[in-house]
Amino acid sequence: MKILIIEDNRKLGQFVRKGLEEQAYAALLVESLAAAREAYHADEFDVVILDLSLPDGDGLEFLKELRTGDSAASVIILSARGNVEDRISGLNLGADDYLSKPFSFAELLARVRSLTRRHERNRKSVLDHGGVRMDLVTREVTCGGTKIELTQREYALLEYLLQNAGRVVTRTQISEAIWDCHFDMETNLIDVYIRKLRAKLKSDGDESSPIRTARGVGYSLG
Amino acid sequence: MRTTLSIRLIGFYATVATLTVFLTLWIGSSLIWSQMIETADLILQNESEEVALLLSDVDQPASAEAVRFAVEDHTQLDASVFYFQIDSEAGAPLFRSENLGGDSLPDSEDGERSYDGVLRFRLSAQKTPGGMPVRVGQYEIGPFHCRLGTSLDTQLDARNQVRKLALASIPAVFALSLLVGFALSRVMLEPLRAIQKTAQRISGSNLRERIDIPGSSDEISRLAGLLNDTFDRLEKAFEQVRQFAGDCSHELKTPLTVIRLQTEKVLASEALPPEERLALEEALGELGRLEMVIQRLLVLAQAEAEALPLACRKLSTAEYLRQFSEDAEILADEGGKRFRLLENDDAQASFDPSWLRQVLFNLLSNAIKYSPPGGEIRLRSKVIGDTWRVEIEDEGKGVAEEDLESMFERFNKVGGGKGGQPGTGLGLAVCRGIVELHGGSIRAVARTPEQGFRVAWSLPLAA
Repeated sequence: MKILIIEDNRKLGQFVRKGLEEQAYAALLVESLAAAREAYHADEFDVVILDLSLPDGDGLEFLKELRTGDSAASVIILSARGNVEDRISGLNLGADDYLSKPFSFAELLARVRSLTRRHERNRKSVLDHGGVRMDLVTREVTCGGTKIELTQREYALLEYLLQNAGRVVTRTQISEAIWDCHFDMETNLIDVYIRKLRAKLKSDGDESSPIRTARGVGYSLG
Repeated sequence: MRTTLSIRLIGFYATVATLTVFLTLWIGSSLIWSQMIETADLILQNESEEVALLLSDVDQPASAEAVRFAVEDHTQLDASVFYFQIDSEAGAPLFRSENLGGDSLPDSEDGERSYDGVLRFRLSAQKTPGGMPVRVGQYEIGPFHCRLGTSLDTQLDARNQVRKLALASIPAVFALSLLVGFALSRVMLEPLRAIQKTAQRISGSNLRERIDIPGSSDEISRLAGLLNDTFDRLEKAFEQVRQFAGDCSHELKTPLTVIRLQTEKVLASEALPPEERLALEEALGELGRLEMVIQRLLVLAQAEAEALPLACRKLSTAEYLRQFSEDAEILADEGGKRFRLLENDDAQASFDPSWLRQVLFNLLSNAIKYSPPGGEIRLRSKVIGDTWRVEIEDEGKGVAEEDLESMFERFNKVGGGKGGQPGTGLGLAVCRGIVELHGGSIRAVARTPEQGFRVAWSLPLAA
């Protein structure tokens, strides 16, 4: 698993590189577009973490080159601009994810992990994990064999957790996916929904919940 | 503005054109008339010289017989053009040409003097009811007192025809010049219309466009040039705001990320003494607040410069608020308050659902924050004409009348954040920025005499 980090702020770049290396990823840091092109031609990478404001140009240029060059690498845009316009144009150009600065490392890690598994996700019509089963066609949800009723939001949230089963999804990821909010909603809405979901998924006499909390980061199913 | 200008132009043009045509015909007819009178005088003069020649042979004192003998042949020959009257020096009539039919040519004193020096001459045999218009010349030839007259009937007819034509032409010329004026004003105002269209198209997201300046250096090109200069300055200022927002975000957000990453890293170590952990966690909390302030300032700057791109979609207002209500009920419930959606009119509105949700959540969390325990938060959505009006009210302490307006300013401290976390003081400012960017308005209302506070925003349905 090789990651190319393109970030002109050396401190930030090194921090991200070290953090990823501690998580057993192989990471290379470059600080300009020119160095990025060179590194990319010399080696193959699975994930590219791309800052947009670089000393020798716009990171989106490099993204364009990657996508026209038929590269299979996943791209996470890292941007201080953080406006919706940039996000949309980045995603339209073929970026897989977009993370606004400032971010926490857990957020970045969760997104890198999501990317590395995104390719494995197949389009199943039934999601099944840890006793929770969701039929995407009939919209029927069962937990431990018992049918449970969910509101629209609860259903969407559980579906998102099931699709990312086995890894942490951050609150920001959830609010982007379910509420289409790209900024902090400034509410504990997600935690409340998780609590409701947990209550509904709780099977009789079993105190443990299939939804786990990753403290300060987000949640994971299973 | 454009309509009145072209109407003014057309009216002006038509009036001037009509007056010009009328006056030209009228003055022309008068000029021709005076020319005719002069010609008549000239031929009368000539004729008088011929008569003088004939009378020079008559012996003195002359008898009527002798005079008739001298001039009769000649007068009969010229009867179609001239009338002749010859009197003696004392005024006794000596000769009248036959075509006078017994009448006399009028005298310049006693004759019925009409316009332009024409003496009207009543002849019973003549067809003209008002009498035959004649030009009379008086000549003293030796001892004879001669008057010669020539008919001006056809000339007067011609002049009157022209004058009638001038009068009759007024409506026709007016109508025609209205048409011409209309066409002319369209042609003249076309560049102005083009300028107007372009200027309307030029907005925050489209500041690069300019008005085409035609090659000639007339007033309109100069106006277009002036407008283009203004747009240049506008674009520059706009670019600066964008640039500032970009710089600000980059210069602040990247170091903030470094601080956050480092703090998190330290916090992750097991060996941290509890006090230091607490201090770092507090620092992290403040960092989060700072990040939010920056984010909101950026949104505000962009919204005010109309540089915040909206992804507007046409959506059902009722469906949108039903979805929001599900979240709102849960949040209110969590805070020990109640939420009710009291009215929910349905209409199709065009708006950015993500940004508007930001507004709704912001207003809701304020309402939850300031409501007393168990208090009710009410949402009403009304469609009035082509406006979508949404009101959120709570049963909190409310806000003093004089503070209502300043609540929407940056870093306002109204309300004070009693209990709970301090806000950024930017939430309502951002709400206003977003609503106004949608072409709507937002304001706060004090609910007197009841307690509480209400915020209402209105959006045009077809944004």
